[in-house]
Amino acid sequence: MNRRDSQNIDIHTTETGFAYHRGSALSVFKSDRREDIAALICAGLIAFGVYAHVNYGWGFAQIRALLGL
Amino acid sequence: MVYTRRQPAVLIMGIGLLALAYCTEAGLLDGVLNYLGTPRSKDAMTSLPYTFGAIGVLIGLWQLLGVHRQGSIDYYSSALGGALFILVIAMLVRWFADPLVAVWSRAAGPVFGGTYIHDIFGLNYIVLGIIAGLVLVNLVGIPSWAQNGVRLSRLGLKTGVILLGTLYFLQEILHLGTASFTLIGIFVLGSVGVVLWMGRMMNVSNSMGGVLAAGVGVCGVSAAVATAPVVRAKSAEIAYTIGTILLWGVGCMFLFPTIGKLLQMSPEAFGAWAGTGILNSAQVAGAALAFQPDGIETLKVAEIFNITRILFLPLIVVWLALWYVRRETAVNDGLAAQSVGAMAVEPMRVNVGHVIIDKFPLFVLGFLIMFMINLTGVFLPKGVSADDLWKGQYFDNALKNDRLLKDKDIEALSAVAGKVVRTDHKTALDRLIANKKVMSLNDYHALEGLAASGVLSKDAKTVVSNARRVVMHTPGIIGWFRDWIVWLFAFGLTGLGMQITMAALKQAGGQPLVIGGIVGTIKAVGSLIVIIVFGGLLGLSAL
Repeated sequence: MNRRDSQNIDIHTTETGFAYHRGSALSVFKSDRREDIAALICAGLIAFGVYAHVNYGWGFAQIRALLGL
Repeated sequence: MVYTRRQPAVLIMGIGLLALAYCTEAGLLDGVLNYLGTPRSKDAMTSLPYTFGAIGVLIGLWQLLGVHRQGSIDYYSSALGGALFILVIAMLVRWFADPLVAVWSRAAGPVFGGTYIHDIFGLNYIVLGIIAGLVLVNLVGIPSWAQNGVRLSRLGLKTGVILLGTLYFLQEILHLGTASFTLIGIFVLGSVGVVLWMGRMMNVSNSMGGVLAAGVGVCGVSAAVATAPVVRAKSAEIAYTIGTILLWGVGCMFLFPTIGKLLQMSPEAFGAWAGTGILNSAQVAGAALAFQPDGIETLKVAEIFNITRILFLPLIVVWLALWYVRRETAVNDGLAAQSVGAMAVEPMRVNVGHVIIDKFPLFVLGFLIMFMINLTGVFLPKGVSADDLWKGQYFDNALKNDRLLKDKDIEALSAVAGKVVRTDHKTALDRLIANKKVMSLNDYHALEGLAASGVLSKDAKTVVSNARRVVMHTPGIIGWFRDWIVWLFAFGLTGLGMQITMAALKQAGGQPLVIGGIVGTIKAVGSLIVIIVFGGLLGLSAL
């Protein structure tokens, strides 16, 4: 098992009959590193969104106004 | 394989969320919310379901009407339906099941003294979310269209941990740093050592012992997976370790908060205990939020300990790699000596630098980056600098007239001013009397010392306390981050419940469970005793 395939464990397959061809029973990502990078991106986007909402008023109300709701 | 299923479930969930948001906004659920005692949830019950309902409708239409071909877009977009499924369960639990259980529990009356059954067993939205997930996966089964997305729950937890970095301040890190490094150092290194020793005594294979040592010692599933390639563990050995960690972790997640409440532990002491004694990161968060669902003080302490533990991961991987190479080389030398002329056994080498870079968890780096960004003061309101910060709040004395000291307050302070001896205390008090408000963060600290010195009368002490309180403010952005973090953990832990199948728990059988159980118990009980006995020395408010 090398670094790229470090999550190739599938302990759900036998029970549910559902096989994952990527990732593992615990993650959709092929490796921990990829999952960490995805988490970094998500956290960055959320932090930016919160910052923009608090400081510039971007948010739910603006989207509704934009859509005319 | 094409993962996306052409089915209407995601579209129906999206429409259902929009309907929930509309009903809440229109006041159709006011009676229900009043009965549950949660009218304050109305804003969240409008904005969140509208947002995710709209997203659900779009994904549902795409899944139902789009053309899907095998590939990354199909693979990852098919996971979104499962993510929405977890989120819907988490919302239903948080807004309806959790308050309903509390209402029933209060109606049933106190069990021990003034304590209700839902308080004792920590039946809050976190625990109920995990139970809902467990029940769903084991009794009903996760729908096939949601199975791929359920595996996104760990991403939610990691994202929550990274964002948690925005809520720490330098004083807190310095305050908890010594305690966390001391406790984690002792218990992580100790557990790894004991598992390796027990594995040798019980004739467990080197690869099994190595992967179990990382799992039990460091941070559970991730550590086991990270160590597996280094000790050349087989899939079955990783599965055994994960089964052991899950079985033990699930037990701890429910048991720790109950014990903590019975011992009346402080949030700080419980957070330290959970962060040290529980094997898996996800379950540390689960136990901390189960202990204190209405605040995140416990979670913050528990995560500092958890992150300290994760920081040990590269070190442990290097240790296990060196240990494994030494053990295997000894075995191979023995084999080579026995079989003259047999095939040469390939010697193994460990590149320490490569292992450390390869195994360093990037999400911990993300936590540290968020912490550093927070230190710069970028998340603070305009005009407030990082120098104005103290324990997560900032100093601002631009007060309206009605918040300034009144004449009777000034009289109470003036009456004791003559008794104050220390120069810094006296200066701060004089400035407070002259300006009717605290004038600087230094004065704020000096007045804290004055209040604790015993010089002030009861009235003067109350005046000083109120004057200090009104000049410290929590940044508005912190509240938003706190909400996001709680939702991310609720999402991640509900999804975690959906991954705890009986098959996974059965994997824990045999020697790994015996070793993991013994070492896990030693770690849990040992860390509890250390925190109770030496908590004060480590700077923790113990009990």
